[in-house]
Amino acid sequence: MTLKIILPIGISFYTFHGLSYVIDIYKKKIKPTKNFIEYSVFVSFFPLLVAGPIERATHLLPQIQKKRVFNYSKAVDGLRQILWGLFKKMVIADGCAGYVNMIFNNSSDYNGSTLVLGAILFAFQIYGDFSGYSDIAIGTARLFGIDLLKNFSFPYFSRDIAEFWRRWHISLTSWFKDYIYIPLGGSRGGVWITIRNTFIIFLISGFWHGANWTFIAWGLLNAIYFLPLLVLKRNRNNIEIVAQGKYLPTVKEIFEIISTFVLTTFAWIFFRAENITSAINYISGIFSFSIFTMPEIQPRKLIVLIAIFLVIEWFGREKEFALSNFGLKLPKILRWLLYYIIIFMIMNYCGESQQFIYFQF
Amino acid sequence: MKKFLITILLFLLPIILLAAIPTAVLIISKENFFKIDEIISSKKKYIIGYVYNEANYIYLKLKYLNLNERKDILALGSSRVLQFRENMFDSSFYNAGYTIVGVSDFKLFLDNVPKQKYPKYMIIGLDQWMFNKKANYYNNNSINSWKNSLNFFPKPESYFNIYKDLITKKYSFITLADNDSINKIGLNAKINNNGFTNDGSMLYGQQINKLLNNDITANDYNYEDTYYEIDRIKNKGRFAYGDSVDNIALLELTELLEFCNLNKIKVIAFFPPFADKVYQKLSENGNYNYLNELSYKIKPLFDKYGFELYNFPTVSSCGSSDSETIDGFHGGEVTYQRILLRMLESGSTLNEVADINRIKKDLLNRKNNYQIYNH
Repeated sequence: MTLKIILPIGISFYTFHGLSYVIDIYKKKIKPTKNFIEYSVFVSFFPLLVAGPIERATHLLPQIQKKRVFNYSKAVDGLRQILWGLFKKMVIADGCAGYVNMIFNNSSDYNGSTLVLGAILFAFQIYGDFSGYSDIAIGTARLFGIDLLKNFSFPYFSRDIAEFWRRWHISLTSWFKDYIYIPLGGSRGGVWITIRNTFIIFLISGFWHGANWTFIAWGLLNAIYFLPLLVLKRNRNNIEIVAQGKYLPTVKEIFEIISTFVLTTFAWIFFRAENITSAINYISGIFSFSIFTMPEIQPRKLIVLIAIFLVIEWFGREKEFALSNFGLKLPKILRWLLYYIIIFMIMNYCGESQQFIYFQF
Repeated sequence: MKKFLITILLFLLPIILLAAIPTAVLIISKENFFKIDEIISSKKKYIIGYVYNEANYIYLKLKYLNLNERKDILALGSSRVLQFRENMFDSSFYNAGYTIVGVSDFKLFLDNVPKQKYPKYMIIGLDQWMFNKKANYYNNNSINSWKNSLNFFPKPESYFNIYKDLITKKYSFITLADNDSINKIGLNAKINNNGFTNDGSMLYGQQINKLLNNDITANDYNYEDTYYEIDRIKNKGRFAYGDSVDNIALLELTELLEFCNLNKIKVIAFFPPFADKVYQKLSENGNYNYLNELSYKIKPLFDKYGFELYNFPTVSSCGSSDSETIDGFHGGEVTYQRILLRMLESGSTLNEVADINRIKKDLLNRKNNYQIYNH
């Protein structure tokens, strides 16, 4: 028998958000505010209420307390970020969702290559969905003159799993780092303590997503991916942006990016599956001879859209978000034309609307 | 702030201008920006046929049943029950077709109808592919998604489609003008005279005109589209290959029949016919073995409750012919009258609400191969 408890939307986000206030006061990083309005705005700031980014009191509260003046450039860039977030959510994530649901819900009916395609599309769905929401939230906050924490930094261009986790759901990862990993000793007690702490963080991260073994397996798998990097002390090898200042990555970097993407996509299978048995069946379906046949589903239009998306993300990877200050050197008319094209793509190629995945957490 | 607002306004201006024409089309045609509740609870004659808002039909059918008096006979299924008309019966009738995709949808639909409005007789169309797992018609759940939502505001893609349709001259502003005594709601009703009438059944206005004139632009002319689906789309949809009848669908059907038995609804089910040529192609293909299993696997479920099941694999099996079909898997009004006649001749419980002699007479006096009654 299972307990069916109705949880308020976004509870895991604003719980952590609120905890940071209490912990930072305890650690004397900030002083408690005596202004009820300021505190209320901090805990219920609407853009981040349901799915983050998980803010810190030290970062957000001073901005609320400070008198803000309307900033034209910031507001316009905020709109650009909202536009890009909408593209990620409505075109990429919602476009992938229909295929992902079809493949994951009937995985036993499809050949291995279709299952691989399903897993890859889910990787893009969850990225487009969650980072899209974050972009919309951050962009909206910027219209009010408030800067929220960056939540995603082009994670699928990561060269190893440690870099991926420095770029994926940054506000949660850094929350865990500051409030759990470091208090546990972080990496100061030698390799084994570091490994222990890393496993603890990933297991907690799994639990944070929900009381389902699939999330625990997903967390555990990511912790295992981390192991060789920790043992070989290579977890901080890739700190800087990939191919910084260059148009294209090296062959080695391409290999590293693809390897990391394969590993994370494999872990996402557990995240998406209904239960562990379904995940294992899905994976066994992949590792069959049918992986060498053509996928039974070929979403050509969606693949072109994902390719366009990746190109824009690649060329924007050194910025706050792909469209940040986009084309400022171009004449206004050309710049606007590009925005109109993105709006056209959102309106014409949007998938069937789906609730944001992270609203459930 | 002022500069920001002016920039936003200038940026949005071309979008507003571009949206003006499609918005006018949607308003004039009543495709959007029009609530149908009032008209469907009135006695005024109407045709409701959308082009860009087909999901509204679930809302329409459920709303009709909720707002109006209880009907003795209800036809429920996909588009393949839509040719049953009120004129065919001597008791009150409503056709709630075009709402069902998978077997589980039947019960979901009834769950959304007040119990006191349950019909005495329910004719259900069991599309053969509902029992093919590969068709992906499981847990469709479209009823729950759409039961309360009428697309009052247009979907973004409608705007592009309108430009496309205006440029390709599918319609013009002139064809949108009201020049008929019947209320026509939606672009399909306005332009093609296609849509749902007061009894919930479907009028195939323009399609039938084209078929009568041997117009090659008719949908699925010579079953070309159906053949294409059979030949090319093997893994999903109506003509996905399938070896055996799916057990989940059988369980869902059992649940439905149990539910109807408990609620004293007499179920009369049938497998809607394919055009003879289409069925022949399916048989020759050899990858649709589940079709051969359907009748003998499903019949016992109906026998348990004393409900009726009729198998019409081809139009000729109900006394019709390819010349009476609208496309590869839809018979016309004449075909459905023949289906009803076969049911009545087999001693169906529908004899309590339909006059076999009148049905025969109406068939003899039909207007053409596709139509019997005036609407």
